[in-house]
Amino acid sequence: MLSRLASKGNKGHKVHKGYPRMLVPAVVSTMVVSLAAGCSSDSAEGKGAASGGMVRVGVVASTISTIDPYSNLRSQDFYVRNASLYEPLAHRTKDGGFEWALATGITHNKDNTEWTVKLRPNVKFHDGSAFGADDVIAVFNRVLDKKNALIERNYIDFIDPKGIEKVDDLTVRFKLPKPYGPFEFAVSNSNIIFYKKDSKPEQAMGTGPFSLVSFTAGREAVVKRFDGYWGTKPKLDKVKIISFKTAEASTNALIGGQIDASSNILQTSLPTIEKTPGLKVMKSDVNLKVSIGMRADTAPFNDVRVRQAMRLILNRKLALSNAFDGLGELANDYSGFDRCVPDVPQRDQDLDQAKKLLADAGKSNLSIDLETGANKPGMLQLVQILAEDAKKIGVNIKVQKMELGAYLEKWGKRTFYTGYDTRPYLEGVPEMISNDDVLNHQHWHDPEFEALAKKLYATSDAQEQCDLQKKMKKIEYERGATILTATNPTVSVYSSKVHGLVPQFPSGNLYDFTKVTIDH
Amino acid sequence: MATETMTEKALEAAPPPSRSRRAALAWPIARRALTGVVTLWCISVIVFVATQAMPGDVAHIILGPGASSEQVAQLNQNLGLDQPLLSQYLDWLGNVLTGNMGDSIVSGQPVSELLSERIFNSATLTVIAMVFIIPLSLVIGLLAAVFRDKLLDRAYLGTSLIVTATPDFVIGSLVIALFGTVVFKVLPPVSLIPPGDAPWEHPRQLVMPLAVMVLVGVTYLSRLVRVSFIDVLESEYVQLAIIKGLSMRRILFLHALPNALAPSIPAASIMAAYTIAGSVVIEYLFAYPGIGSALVDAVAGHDLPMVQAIIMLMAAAFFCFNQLADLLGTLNKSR
Repeated sequence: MLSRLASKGNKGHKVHKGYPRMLVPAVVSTMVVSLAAGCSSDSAEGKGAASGGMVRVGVVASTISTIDPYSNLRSQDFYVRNASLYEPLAHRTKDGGFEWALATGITHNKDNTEWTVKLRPNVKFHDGSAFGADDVIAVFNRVLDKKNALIERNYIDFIDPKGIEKVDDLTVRFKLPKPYGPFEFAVSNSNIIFYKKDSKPEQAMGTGPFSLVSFTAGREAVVKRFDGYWGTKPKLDKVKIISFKTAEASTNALIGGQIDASSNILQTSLPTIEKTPGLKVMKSDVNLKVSIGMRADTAPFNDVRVRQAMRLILNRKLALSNAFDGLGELANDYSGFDRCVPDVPQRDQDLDQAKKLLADAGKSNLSIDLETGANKPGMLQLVQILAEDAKKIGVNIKVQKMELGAYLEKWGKRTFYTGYDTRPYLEGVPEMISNDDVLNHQHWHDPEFEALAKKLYATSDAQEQCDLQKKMKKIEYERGATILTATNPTVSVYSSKVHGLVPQFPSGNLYDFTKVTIDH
Repeated sequence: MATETMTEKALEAAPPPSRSRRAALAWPIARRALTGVVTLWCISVIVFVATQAMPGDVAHIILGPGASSEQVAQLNQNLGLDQPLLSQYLDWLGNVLTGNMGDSIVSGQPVSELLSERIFNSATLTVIAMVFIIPLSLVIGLLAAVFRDKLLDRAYLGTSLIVTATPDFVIGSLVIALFGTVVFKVLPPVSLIPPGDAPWEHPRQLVMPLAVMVLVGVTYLSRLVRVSFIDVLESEYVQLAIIKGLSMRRILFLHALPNALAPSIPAASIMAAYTIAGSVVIEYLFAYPGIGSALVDAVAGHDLPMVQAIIMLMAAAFFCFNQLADLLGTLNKSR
């Protein structure tokens, strides 16, 4: 499972921050967790509100941030800001398709080695200049340059920069060194966004629906409606993106009426929020799996029976309700989200079977450390539930909570550890079959899985891709090296004065403000 | 005649009195300044060593676990973190000696640019807090001393003990819940000061963080004032004044107050120093845009130049207030 620490977002990724729980300012009276089921959502487009006005969005962000759209510093402010200022070639949709943005179509040759991207005509940058092929090529070259150490390179490293050529002002051709099927999926990554070639980062010269007014690192960014936008023009005059250090502060500001919306709220505050007049709760599709990794090349997890036993020890229903506040759905030990699901039964707790598997493996009185950075809500509680369940069959799991820096230092070298997965399956698999210890941190190499993965990336046929994914997920379910307990949504809260907000797919965050209005 | 001549010569040979006084003053001041510089240098070394000893490296923290080993190594190289430690430290020290606090490792922006407004905001918060803490402590300390062992005094002592024993962030959380989010909702729970604005332009945003700082400061300092006043009120000269039938007001303000203030003023200086350090928690809690909240981020991100700059600033302020306390203490003794 591709556990990620850097909060990913922007129309294609999940944004989640570790919520330090030691400071719980507003929630002295909100420790009782009882999220009501009916999370409401006013998704009506600009219902009953006039154009204009400003929406204040709260995000959890680091004090140290930069305006560069390809900065390695990525707090949630980075993703929200970028989604307003810049655009990708296409937006991925729930049904597995694409909604074209800066591209209007992508074609390929028979053997998937040559892909041609047609760009949208009449698209303007915020300074009024025309967007075109040169800008696209400049961005791809930057992302692919190893010296820049950008994470986006991992998604498109099948592209050779020398093979990118400008056909005309609105056409770019990619000649690949070897066949690559899901090209459209890869280049539509919502973090691969386009700015004007040779512009300076502080100009924030994108093509997005909003243009930059001001940016103060770690404090706030203000963007205003871009009247030259090619698509549906925003109704709001401005969006102010306000950075908070913690989800606690963001939650307090929301309850205190200092901001209008946020996806970074303290889950334990939801009961209080639901009782607060003028606030609405919105739950997205599930998009986050907190994982427990088992290093498959090291004892005791080099024995598949031990890995299976661990998966059977955990009471998933209890974990879902107690660790994840009952917000999400049960997961079933394979990665990815709701598309291309294999036909396998939901795994449940079976202590007798777990005990038998451990006995067969000669590990009946297993004692092992489980290390966690506790950098996601519910992560620490999840491993504590596993440790408690394990005691019932004589297995001693010692939970070690670590400071995040220390935890990451040995990432890829840990034996039993926590992580999280927010990415679509196609983005995750390359890391699962990687030989880099840091990427394939479970050190799990399954020949059948890897052979299927090769086929997956060679075909551009969507149905074939889906069938292959089902087979691969079934292998993960049967003999993989990760415990995936629950899949959780992103919960956003907003003022009832705001209309037209929808959770962004797939991250569930509040990024798209083009259809939003606010009561004056 | 001979004696007269010798005396005149001796007077001529002696330096003018004002010059000798200046020389006598110059050495202690220079010594203190030198001590300050050495102290700050020691702190810079300790912070550097402590930051290096922290587990985890910057590139890993920035890129997260999704980055390949190659990307982590490349970013470390881009950030100059592959250089020897001594070279990194000397680079930083060289910059500081030329008045440049360096650039943030993480963002690449100049530290001075990232911190200038935050320093101003933190200083504002501390100064305003002290403006309230000192007079309130005097009044409350004096009243407690006058009503010693009465109900008012006992209630005050009990309350101040509870406040002193409670961590700042717990008090802050309670204040937020009480006045910002749960019970009354009359004050903004978060101190959102827009960039470019002075904090005092948004007085409502300052009320809660200041309230907590003042509450914590007053409960500490007023107890010292109370003890000083009690000592003075029990002294022979005050007893004599009472026997002579002087009015209580005259005794308190003309005779007791100057003497009770003397030991309290150095304590107030130290209180100011503690207020600067304590503002880290308060700023974090109320999301106040000061150096305290920046320090939390810098430490989490292992951003050495940012950590160094903030700690050095705090240490310099702490040092200055301590020197002031020493000076006032010395003056008090000579008095």
